[in-house]
Amino acid sequence: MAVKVCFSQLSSCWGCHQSLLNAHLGLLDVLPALEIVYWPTVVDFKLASLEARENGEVDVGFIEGLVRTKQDLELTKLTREKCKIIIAFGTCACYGNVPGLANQWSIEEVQNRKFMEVESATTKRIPDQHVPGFEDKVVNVDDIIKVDAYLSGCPPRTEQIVGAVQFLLGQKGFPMNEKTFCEDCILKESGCLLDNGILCYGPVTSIGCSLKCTNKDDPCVGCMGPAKNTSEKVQKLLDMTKSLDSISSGDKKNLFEFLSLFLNVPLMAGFDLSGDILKQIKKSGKPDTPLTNMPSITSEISMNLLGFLAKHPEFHDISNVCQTCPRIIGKGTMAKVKRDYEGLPNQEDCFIEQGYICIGPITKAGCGGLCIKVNAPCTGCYGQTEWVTDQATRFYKTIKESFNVDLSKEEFFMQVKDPIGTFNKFTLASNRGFNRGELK
Amino acid sequence: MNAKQYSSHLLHFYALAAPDFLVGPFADPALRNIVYVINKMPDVGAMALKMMDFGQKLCAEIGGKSIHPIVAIVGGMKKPMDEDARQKFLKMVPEQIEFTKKTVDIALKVIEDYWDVVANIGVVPTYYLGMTKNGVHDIYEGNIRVVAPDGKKMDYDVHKYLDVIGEHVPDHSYATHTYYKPAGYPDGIYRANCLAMTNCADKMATPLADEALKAMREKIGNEVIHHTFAYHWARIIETVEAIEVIAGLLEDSDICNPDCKTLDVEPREGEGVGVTEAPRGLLLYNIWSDADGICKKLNLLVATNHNIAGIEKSLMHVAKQVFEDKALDGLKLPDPWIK
Repeated sequence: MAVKVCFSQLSSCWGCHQSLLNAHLGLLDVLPALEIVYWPTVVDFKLASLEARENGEVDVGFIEGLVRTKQDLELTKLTREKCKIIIAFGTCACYGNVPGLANQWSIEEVQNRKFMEVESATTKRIPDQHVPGFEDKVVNVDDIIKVDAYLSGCPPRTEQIVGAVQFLLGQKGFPMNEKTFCEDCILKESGCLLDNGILCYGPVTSIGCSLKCTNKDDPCVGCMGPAKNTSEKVQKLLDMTKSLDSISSGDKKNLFEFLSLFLNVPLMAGFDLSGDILKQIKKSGKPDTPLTNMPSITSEISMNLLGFLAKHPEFHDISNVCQTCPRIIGKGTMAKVKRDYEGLPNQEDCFIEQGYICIGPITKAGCGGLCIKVNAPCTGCYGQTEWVTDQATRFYKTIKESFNVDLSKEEFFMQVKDPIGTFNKFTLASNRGFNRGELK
Repeated sequence: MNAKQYSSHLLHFYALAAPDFLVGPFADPALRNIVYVINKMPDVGAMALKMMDFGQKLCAEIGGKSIHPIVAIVGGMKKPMDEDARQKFLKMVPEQIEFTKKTVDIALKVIEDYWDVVANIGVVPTYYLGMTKNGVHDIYEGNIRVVAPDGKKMDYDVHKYLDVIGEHVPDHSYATHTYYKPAGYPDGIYRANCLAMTNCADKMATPLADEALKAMREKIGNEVIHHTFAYHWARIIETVEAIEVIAGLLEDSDICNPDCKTLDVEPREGEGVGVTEAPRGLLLYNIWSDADGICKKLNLLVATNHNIAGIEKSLMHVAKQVFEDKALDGLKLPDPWIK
């Protein structure tokens, strides 16, 4: 049955929707699985049709944009009521984005500039008939309703949106067959990968896939989900998962795949799901969500693997843009803060060590480094890796520790002309310290 | 910019507008959408998606991101196009030109099928606002051009925009209504984007697009066209120009020239005005900077401003036609392509 989906647009530019549509031919795989119940501009259902639905009837609600008007506020609440899962879709919905910078001024000042003072205005008034009215500040969606998943980015990358949709739709009914993959494996008689020390998840995985990775000597990564039983090789797999201290990079990759396919753990960067097993492990060392309906030995294997993750934070720590950046660190030194118009950075070396401010070190990864590929430093659109009030000082400390920077803190800040716009461009509305008046 | 123009116009035509024409304007919304069109006309759907994909990928290749490109800086670009990428996209151009020709045929058939609607519903005389360079259609740079309802064309230097464009703040909308100042409000209400652009242009910048413009003028028969439904036709004419300009630019190896930042600038206190044509209308920026080159104040007149008054005017016109004059009665509608 198709999954009911709603897309609610608050104050925004529609870029996140465009990013989803950018999947183009990839949409052909996704769209048939969706029943779109509300998506203004793409489908001609009116708001009344969403209002008429039962509460909780819609499976997934994507909320794009930020809350600036009272209409945004009402639509946010309505979407929450009607949907089981809410995704804050894009940096506006996650953190307030560039329009959140307006929170430096009162709503009266903002309206005054826009409607009364602006040079081209010939009629000067604040519109007040049949208009929704403004909120005093740009408000974060998650200050109003519970958000289940955050999909940041301005816009989020197409692959990431499709991945998130597929993950959420991936409430795929696993077949839970009696037999395991091993029964059908080409290496059943000889050459079993487990015998050769390679982690293969065939002994716990349902039979019935068409790809059969072991045909090409690749291990089974569990995409059919758990089987009702386990194969005779399961003890070998269990033993291997008990001593996972050192595994090869290939096994590591397969472990990622196994977790995402078999346990439905979202491993994609920039997709932050409350109730996410990885987040639970990070917090308490083990998942709070029980792994249900599996043979006990399968559960034990899964727990061993998740235990391995708990000891290896590199798997679930939020990575930053630098960790995905190919530029070389250590060749230059930031001795002066350069601005966009000053020269051109070379395309090989770290922007920071060429003197340019690049927010990559404090920004969540997930974008694929699109800006860096065209010689533009990161400006932070995926949001910060840590939520502190003073991102500017955090940035300075981070680059002073990890890069060649020959500037004192005072010298550095003397040369940054627009600290709020530089370090909080996308997240000011969600900066709680700023909202409390603690950021100068 | 032409890559964006190409994908945006095609998104509008195929994803937003075509379902109404192909499935029928009064069909159930659950069917009257792009998803259903793709399911029912997979060949056309796949072609449309391939065209949009080409435009967006080209935009991302040059701009870093197809949405909010980040490569442009004061004085030039952060990076030129890679030669490999130029070759890759150049190879894709002939197929895209074929697709564009097929799209023209589809659009012409839609116009023909819905001629009764095009010719009779929403024919609203207004002013038009666009941009031309020496009278020729241009989305990159040029003068502001205003066309009066009677077809008279007037050119203005963008720096004089405050003499040309007034901004009426209505009491019922946060989107302010821009209008042609010398004619006053509401008489000076104008419309923007593709039909306004073709109304402004003496001719298109490329041969196939110019032929397409001539065909539209022959069919509708005027120098200035007030037919709201002709926006779809004008959009396709601009799409043709976009792919022809893209082809020309990709053929020029100079777009890979590493000397991509040609102007050295120093920050200073001052004021500047810039203008360009986005797919949905004119973008006009007036920026004031301080001695550090930091923006202290700005006035943006964007497509939403330029379109909203015209949309309200044509909507009011059509509402009267439909509800008072019962214009839909007896209107000839074709059998839907998709049943």
